[in-house]
Amino acid sequence: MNILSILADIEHVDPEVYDRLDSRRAVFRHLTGLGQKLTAAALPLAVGAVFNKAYAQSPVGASVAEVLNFALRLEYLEAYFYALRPLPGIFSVANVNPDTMALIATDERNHVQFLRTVIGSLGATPVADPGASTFDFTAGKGSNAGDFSGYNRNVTIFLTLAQLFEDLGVRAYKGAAPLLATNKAVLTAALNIHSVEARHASQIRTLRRGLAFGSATPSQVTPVAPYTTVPKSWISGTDNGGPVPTYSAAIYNAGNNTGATASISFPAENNTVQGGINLANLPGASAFPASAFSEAFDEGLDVGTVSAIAKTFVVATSSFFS
Amino acid sequence: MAFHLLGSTIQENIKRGPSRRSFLRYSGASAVAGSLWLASCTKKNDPAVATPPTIASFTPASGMAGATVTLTGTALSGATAVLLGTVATSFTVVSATSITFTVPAGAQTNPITVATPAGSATSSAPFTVTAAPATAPTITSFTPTSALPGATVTVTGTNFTGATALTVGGVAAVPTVASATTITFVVPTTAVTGPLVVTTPSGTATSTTSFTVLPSTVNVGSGDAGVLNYAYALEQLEAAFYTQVRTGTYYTGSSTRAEQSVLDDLYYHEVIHREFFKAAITAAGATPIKDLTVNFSSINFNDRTSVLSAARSFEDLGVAAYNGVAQYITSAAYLHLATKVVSVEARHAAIIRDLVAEGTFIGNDIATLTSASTSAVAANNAPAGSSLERALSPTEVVAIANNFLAVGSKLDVSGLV
Repeated sequence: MNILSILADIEHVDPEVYDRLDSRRAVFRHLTGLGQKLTAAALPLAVGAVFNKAYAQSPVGASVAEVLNFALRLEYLEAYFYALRPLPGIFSVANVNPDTMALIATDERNHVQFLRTVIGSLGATPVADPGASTFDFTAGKGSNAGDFSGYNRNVTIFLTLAQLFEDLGVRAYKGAAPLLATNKAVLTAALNIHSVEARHASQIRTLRRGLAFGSATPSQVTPVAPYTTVPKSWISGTDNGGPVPTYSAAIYNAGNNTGATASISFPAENNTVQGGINLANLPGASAFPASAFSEAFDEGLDVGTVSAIAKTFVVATSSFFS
Repeated sequence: MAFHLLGSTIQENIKRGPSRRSFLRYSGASAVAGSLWLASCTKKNDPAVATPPTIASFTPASGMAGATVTLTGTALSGATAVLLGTVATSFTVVSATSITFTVPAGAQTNPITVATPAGSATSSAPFTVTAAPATAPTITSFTPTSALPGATVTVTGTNFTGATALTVGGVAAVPTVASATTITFVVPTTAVTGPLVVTTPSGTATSTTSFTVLPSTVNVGSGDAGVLNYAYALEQLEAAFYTQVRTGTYYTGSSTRAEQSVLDDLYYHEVIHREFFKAAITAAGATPIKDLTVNFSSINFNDRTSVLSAARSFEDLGVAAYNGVAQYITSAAYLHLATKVVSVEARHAAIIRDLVAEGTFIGNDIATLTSASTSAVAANNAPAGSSLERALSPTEVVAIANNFLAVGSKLDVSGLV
């Protein structure tokens, strides 16, 4: 599947989405009522049924599903990555709590399942499980001998990659959210995943701080500029291109605004102008360190740029992120 | 006593009666007893025969203190007292048949008594003392001239004694009469802006100016501007919190360098968010809500546990608020901006939670890890095992946030949904 064709599809925003739904409130009533009657396990299907009512056999609905399928691809990337994490014993040696890594791994698997359910209930087909063999997290394009070799034995390399994937995921959901705005329930669900990814990103950065000093209490380690190995829990500037600029610079740099929704752009993470307002000129903030203005806002990234970055971590023959 | 009569010296006389005197006549060395009948003699120093007074009538029959009453009767000359009941009055004897007196203060309705040396008389009918003339109250001023429900207002004026009612814009308040010139009252929660009206048995007074009842809540409005003001309100709360954190002894004294570093950054970020939303609302042609007054009385800024626990609540709440309100944003640009902020809040929440307890950056309390969501935001009713963070409706959010806002700054989000 060509990601650029997805971009073309999602330009067609459904102007009659509310007509397809009874009404926004009615849908929520419907959902709430279902929530009281059905078991929790059945809920994704129930939610999907409502979406289905609105979007079944709708070409525009397919666009929403395409965006969700894009999110699903990223979740697969993360889920397989964490599934291949170093053995718990190694984490312990490095003072990284194995329970934390297991928790994040579970979250990513959960996101995969949830998105598959929602996409299916929209009347669309979720992308097929690519399988672990689709990915080469060493960035070796299938050689499994790339620059990140040993990521599943070396906690330092593993957490470096984890930060890249989490920060990338947070930017990707931000870029995709406006494309889901026609379906409020889907939008909200996507944002509820987005903030979980942001928590992961923060935590992975915290763990990297702890790792840098071998601290068993990572939250008690003070970040050190330029934050490539002892990062803050949030993105400061572009973090000098990130921990491995060859691979990570693109994650913190500007995206491609071509085809973006009107009035939305994807500047680099060190952007300090939001909504036309220069943050450094805000009253009450003049004495703040310059880094604070970029840290206070994360940035989105377009689907094309995210896909191009993700493509680094699949085998050469795979079209999963094409 | 001795006096001379016909050349004789009357040595002594003896009173025998009103017109007869007995005496001894001295002549030479002898004294002759005899008697002398005196006709038409009067005793110069004695009054005429004393007659007790009588009261025939008085007019008017009633009056208030200070009124003059004319009393008619007989033998009133020489009156020594005029009483109304038992209260002495100031009186003037005009003639033997007429006395005027002034109704004394404090007198009650009672018969009139006139006393003379010859006796006294009491009227058969009582004189009716009427109450002081009905003097209506007046309001000269009140302070403050505007206040929130629950505030105490002092009203200054006259004749407030016995005030029975006070209304604010037509809504009853409970007056406390401090003196004849001062009333205080507490602004009722239902009061509306309008004149003050004080009611006493003598009448009512209406203030010439209106008392302004300040709104106890701040309405964030509706539409995208309403969402922006909602975000502005929450960022004000967070910014105020971290501003105060940096003055407490936990931050200034006992916090670790890493904790200070985190709290500094969070302070910077939240102040930037606050000022950004204020500027963005203005740039959008809308009006930012006022500067909110916070109430952090439940937080001990000198205590690490109290500060970090509150910080965790604020950050988790902020994430849930943005997650829940995004669906109401119509502008793609504002939606995008909201997502740029919420992920920073989520990053904050994760590290704060880790400062409270390592490894708690996410949990069942804020995400559907192993339990399903039962949020009022239906779209957030994700099943257990989906790992979606909660979204809270604006109503759910302000139910928590308002605990940290003072009366007059509590949020009203009814326009958003």
